[in-house]
Amino acid sequence: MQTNNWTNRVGQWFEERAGVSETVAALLHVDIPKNAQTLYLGGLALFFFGVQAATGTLLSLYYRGSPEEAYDSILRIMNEVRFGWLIRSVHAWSANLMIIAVVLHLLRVFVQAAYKRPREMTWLIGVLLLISTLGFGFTGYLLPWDQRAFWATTVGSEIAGSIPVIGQQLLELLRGGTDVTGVTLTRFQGVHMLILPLTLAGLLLLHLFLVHRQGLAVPPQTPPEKAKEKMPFWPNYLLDELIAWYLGLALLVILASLFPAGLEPKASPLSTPAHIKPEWYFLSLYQALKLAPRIIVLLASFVGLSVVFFVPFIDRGPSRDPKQRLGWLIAAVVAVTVIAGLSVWGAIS
Amino acid sequence: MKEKKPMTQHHLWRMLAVAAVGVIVILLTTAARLAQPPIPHDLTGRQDCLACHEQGVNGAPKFPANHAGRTNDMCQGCHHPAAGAAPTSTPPVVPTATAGAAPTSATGGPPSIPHDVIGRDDCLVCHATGQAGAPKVPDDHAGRTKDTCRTCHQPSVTQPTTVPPTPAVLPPTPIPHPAAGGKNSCADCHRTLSGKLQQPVTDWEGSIHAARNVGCADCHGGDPTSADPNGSMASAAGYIGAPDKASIPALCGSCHANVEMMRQYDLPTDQLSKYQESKHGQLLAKGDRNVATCFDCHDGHATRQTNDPGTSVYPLNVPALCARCHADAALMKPYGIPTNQYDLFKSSVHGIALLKNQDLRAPSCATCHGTHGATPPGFEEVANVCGSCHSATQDYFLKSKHASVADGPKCVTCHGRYDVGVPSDDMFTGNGQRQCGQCHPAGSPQAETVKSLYTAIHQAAITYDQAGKAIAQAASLQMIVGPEEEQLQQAKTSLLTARAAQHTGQLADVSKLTGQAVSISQQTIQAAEAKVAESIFRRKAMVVAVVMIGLVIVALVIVKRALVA
Repeated sequence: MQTNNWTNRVGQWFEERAGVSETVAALLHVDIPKNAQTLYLGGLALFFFGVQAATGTLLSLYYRGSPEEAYDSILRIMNEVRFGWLIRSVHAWSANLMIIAVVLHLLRVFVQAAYKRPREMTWLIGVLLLISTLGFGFTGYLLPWDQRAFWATTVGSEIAGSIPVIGQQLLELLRGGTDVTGVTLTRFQGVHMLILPLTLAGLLLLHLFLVHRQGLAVPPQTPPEKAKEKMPFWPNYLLDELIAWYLGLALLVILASLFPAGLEPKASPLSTPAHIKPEWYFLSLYQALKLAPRIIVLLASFVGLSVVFFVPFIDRGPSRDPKQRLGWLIAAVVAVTVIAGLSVWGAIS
Repeated sequence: MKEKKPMTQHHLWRMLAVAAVGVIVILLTTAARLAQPPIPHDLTGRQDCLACHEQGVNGAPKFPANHAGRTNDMCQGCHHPAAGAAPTSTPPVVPTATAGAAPTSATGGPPSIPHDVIGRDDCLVCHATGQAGAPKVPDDHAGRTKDTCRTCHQPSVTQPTTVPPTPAVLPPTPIPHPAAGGKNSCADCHRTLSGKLQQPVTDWEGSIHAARNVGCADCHGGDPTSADPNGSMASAAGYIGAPDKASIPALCGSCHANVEMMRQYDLPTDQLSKYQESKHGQLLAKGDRNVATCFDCHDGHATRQTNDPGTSVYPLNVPALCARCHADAALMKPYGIPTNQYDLFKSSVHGIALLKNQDLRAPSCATCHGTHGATPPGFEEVANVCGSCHSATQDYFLKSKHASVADGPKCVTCHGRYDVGVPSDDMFTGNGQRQCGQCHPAGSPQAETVKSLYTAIHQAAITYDQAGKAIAQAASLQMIVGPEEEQLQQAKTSLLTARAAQHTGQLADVSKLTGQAVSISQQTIQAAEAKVAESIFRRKAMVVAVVMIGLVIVALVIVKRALVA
């Protein structure tokens, strides 16, 4: 066929110059453990990040990052721009689902002790990816410049300001001054649209490179003979992953349609709402600060985060058997229960 | 007519006999009286004879058993002061020595009072428990009240007895303001006491006066640098004790009417002159001691700044403050004024806003009646008083025929005085109290205008409510309704302005405004309904999208199965 010939010729033209097929083959045509149980969480996090990049790019075409214009530009996106409401609502929901996917992915890897040698570096970068994702959420929350955005950022940055010794400097660094102002908005916009995407994309490439290089870990209970069973990454595994992504997409469409992203009245530093709360993923910290002395909460959070970050170097035993890691698993259950409990408490109080 | 008979000898003898009997009775009575023991002491301050003579205390002769049942007012029927009983004579000798270190009188009578008695009317405050080194009341004085002390004990210090008459207009009183040099021995001493002697210091310590270094001596005089109570509270040191009530406004005014002194605190200085013009001030000048002075409203010694929520004159507390006197039926009886104002106010729209919602924009008693110049506004002034807040409504009202008619209706006629309620469109209908029909009977031209006003405003209100419901429905579907809510505010403004403009009674003006309200409300309804339609479309589109995604998933599953097979 003439068309076939034409496409083949274009393909060959590229192949001669870029040699893409070799790279694609190296990436796709690999065998992975047949019994690896990823639960597709890492892939889903990647999918939601892709959605964020696409919808965020579209939103940036209409968004204006100044206190005078930000609110009205969001209102315009929601009311006038064709499918603007859908793009923004999907962006907002995808942000939440991405955080959930990243946290669940981290928990899955922790439970399977997949961070152990030789995957320590993958874990470290993974934790940094989680922190970057939370940073995305924190900075993005302010951009609509409505009351909820303004005051959640005020409360959220107060938490940072309560850190001993460096707190005040950190608060002023975040806000670009002592208060949340237009300077803060510009700063958050820059971090949200430039610094964090570059950071996260770089970390993500490293993460994927390491995953590709080390392969997937099989669950610790898998019998040795089953652990050796392989299947092709393409198309077998990727098809499953694609199904998971489509399910994620369906969930996004449903949430965005039934619960589109809202917009409160325009931010007013002079009008404090009755109930100010940070985003849900900071609620546990917010509630803990209400209950216990500031220094204890911050110290506990710092120690907790350090333990999570350095767990491959603390839990150095070779065994991945859950029975021999009972202490770690119980600690994880307790930590998750406490964080979830505090979050619910913070939400309803 | 009866003929007058000449006096006979028989008649003459009879008259002489009667006169002789009368003389004998008088002589016998006088002799009997002269036979009673005379009163050997001065009677000043000793009206209660029985206080000493009933039990025979302080060496006073106990009255005989046959005097049982006789009262104080009967004593001087028989007993009279002896000719030599000079005003300075001393009471009978005190047989007991329980007075301790207290100095006795020169003639050995009961101990004299060694200190000034100005401001020390209640001896028992100190002497009942022996506070501040005062001799404790002896045991045999048990049961005696503070009113009986001066019957026997007299001050040894000469007191200034002349009280300056209260002038009709009270000028600021030049009080000593002695140089205290940072000392306040009054507070130092009274802080260590208890009860009534300590309370003023406790109150003062939390006051704005304490914070601004206005001490006890600035109002009470005396020497705050002296640690000796007899020196610090000596009349020679300018000590005046508790200031007379009539002099309190002027005393406060000695500072608060002083422009130079008050400038540094950015306080007004017209309180005294306003008070003198007020009902309270006028009555006080006439000698009425029931009226409120500065001390009564500004928390006495604990006076604080008026923006302090704890002070009685803070706007939220003012109604209860005024009610302390004005809700007291017994206190108000002589003035013939009602006492239900506070109860009426509490349930009024103003009272609910101020007391329940703590909305400081709402008026308290002082807003309408004035603060220091408190005087009830006259009927003609009412529109101005209400108009100080409801200025737009007042402007409309002043353009109306109601305002131009002598003795025409004022704000209170339709809205009430203390019990102002939430105005409703029902005021246009019916002929009950506070309704238009009360004055304008059905069929009159004015009643027709009222009916048209009602129809225009009521229709605008209904359309406005419908717009609100349409917005609520769109919001319940998670749609952003900020612009629609903003639009509805414009309709609300037009409706509120129409309601205010109806005070002119001009139908054309009101109809123009209600027309605007209806038009904007209808636009809002359309916009909100478009949002609802958009939400329904989104949900339908969502179903289509989810079905398509489902089909793709099914296709992928089929491909996967084929691949595995």
